[in-house]
Amino acid sequence: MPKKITVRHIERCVGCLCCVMACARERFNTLSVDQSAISVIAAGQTAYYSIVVCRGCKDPVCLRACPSGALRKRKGGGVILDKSKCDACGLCKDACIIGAIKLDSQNGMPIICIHCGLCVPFCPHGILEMEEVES
Amino acid sequence: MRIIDIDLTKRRVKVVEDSKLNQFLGGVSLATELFTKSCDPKVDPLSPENVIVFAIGPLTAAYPTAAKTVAMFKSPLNNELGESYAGGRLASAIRFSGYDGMIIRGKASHPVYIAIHDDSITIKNAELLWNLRSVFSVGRILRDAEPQGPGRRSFIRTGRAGDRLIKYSYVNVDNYRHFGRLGLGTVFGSKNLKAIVVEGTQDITFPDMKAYKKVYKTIFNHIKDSDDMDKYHILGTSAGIQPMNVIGGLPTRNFSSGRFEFADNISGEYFAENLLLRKIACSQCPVGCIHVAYLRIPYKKEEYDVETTFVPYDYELLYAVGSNLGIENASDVLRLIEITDRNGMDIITLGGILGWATDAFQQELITHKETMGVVFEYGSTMNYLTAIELIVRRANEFYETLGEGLDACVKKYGGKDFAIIIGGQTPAGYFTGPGSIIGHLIGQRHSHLCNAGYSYDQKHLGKELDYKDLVDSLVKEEQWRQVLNSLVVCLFARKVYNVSRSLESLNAIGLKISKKDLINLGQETYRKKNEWKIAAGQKMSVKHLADRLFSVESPHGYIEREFIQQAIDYYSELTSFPLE
Ligand code: SF4
Ligand code: SF4
Ligand code: SF4
Repeated sequence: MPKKITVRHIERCVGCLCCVMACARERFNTLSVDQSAISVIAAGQTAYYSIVVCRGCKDPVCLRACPSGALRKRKGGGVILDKSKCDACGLCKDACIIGAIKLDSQNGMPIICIHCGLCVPFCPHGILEMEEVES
Repeated sequence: MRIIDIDLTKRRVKVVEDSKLNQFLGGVSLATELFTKSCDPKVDPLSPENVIVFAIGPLTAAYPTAAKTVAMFKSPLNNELGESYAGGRLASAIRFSGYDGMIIRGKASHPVYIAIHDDSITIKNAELLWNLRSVFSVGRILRDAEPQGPGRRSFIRTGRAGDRLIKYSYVNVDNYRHFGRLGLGTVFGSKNLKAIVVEGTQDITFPDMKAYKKVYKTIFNHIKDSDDMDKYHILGTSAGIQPMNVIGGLPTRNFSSGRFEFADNISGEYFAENLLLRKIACSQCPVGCIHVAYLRIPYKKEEYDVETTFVPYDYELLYAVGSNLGIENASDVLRLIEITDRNGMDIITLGGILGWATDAFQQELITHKETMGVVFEYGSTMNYLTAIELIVRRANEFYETLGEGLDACVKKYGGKDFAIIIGGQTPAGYFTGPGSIIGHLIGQRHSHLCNAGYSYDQKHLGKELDYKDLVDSLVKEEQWRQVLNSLVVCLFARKVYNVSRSLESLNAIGLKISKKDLINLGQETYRKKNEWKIAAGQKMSVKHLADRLFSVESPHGYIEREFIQQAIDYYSELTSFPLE
């Protein structure tokens, strides 16, 4: 069965950014907070961190928003980007209101989670999991 | 190396690129080079001529726990070299904005803050932030004023103690971490500097990403799976309260005892079971040692109104305004931490001063007249809260003096016999034996609590101590810590970053350096700092140590002044450090 990433225990997050850095390092081969498909954002002293990553939609709104057919459905949910077709218009980013799509500051193309799971073992507190989904 | 160089008097911002600095690697070694070249040792710490240096290291943001920034300045508290470390998001924010360090000189004509967003560095008006009641409000306002980069930005700022030049004001980093000791916040205040915001978007790649990933993973897994770091995550540093009390090394009521009968009430276990709200980590740190408690204070009881605040706690704080002031319950300790933190003062220094004041009041060296009616009494939280408010308000001559530090208090009111001050400041919370005192005296990072002295004491419990061996091992350890602080990794992870691991992690990001050169760098940094300290007029002395330190039983029995003197003499022989 295909899998997708899921944030299992958002309340337990300590805000270390290890997952953010892991996606940048393991998937994008760089040391960065921005070149990463997962973000962790502090919500002040009172609330817990928001961990923002693609939910793996079955019928993705980001895909529907893309005017140039650069996104296709990923097996198990979410989307796969075809860079050769992407115009860097950012409409997918606007459509995903949970904020799971970032735009690359260099080329304007979307940075989207591909549910590879590379970041999961780098959360020291077991907050991220790979979840099986019916295909 | 890319260094930001700011002159607040001239409102001039420069970015200097200098490859000659690369030999210093980063962190404390880089900071020492920048600081000693730009700050005259004889300078008045509160004059515009004092200089603040910040530096990060080659491992910053790249490896687990490499999340510390070093600050260097001349301390207004003891007129010596000020060196302080803080975690939070600052180090990685400096890295991702593309710099290795920062120098701040001069004095602004009015309150300002510095905003760094990648290449844009601006000096902005901070008049509206001056004298705010809470250091946390300063953070909240800045978060809205500088909204870029949530998740990776850092806000460092002073509280109103800094604005009012209380000599032991701290700099708060991202709410829960601090450049705590030796008055960096006071130096900020003297420069009319309120805050620094850092945020950047650079990406970094290393020549051999595969090698880097491999070493990263090894270190990450070591930290995650071994017990070496467990104690820091589980209970945090406050895990030490119980064991320290058991061996009789927990300073209690201004060091009049090493055992606190209410230690159970303020132990790490008690906090974790009853008051712990959450744990937080510095950027890139898998440990997450920051423990935050909630403090609930009902007011207008009949209407069920409550004030709720969030208070970070650590071993040192629980000692300083807990056992050392005879405070019997956890919530009261939190109240004292909260008010000190909110006003932006170093809690360890404040705790020492209040301890002295309590004894001085009991012995009638000071009276109601000086204290404006406040009764200084061990265990009385409400009275201490009032006193702290009065210190921040600089309410009269007495409270002004309390704001000047313990040395000033003793000069004015006496009470030297019980003024617990070692090497120019109130010590960390370990009354473990001679090592803890000698470690403080000869430790280079006076600001820092972790000198190896008290662990030496604990390792040698029940054994006769040899002062030469003690001094030799402290010097050796301190020199090695110069290396760790050049990388800059968290010293809690010092067992993880041993010599070979340190070399491996440097090599994997393309920095080839030999073991010999690395060790040399530590020794050279150590030597250079001592040189500056000596030029600033620092002398080693045993005379200033309070009699109380020698008349209370430590886990090594009664400590002998003579032993400390021998150790200092020997240290002076080794390093040519002048004696008083
Ligand atoms: S990017 Fe957003 S809209 Fe697209 S699949 Fe993921 S969660 Fe759904
Ligand atoms: S699952 Fe893969 S792409 Fe998604 S955030 Fe984790 S590492 Fe990045
Ligand atoms: S690695 Fe885990 S604890 Fe750390 S920021 Fe990510 S989700 Fe939170």
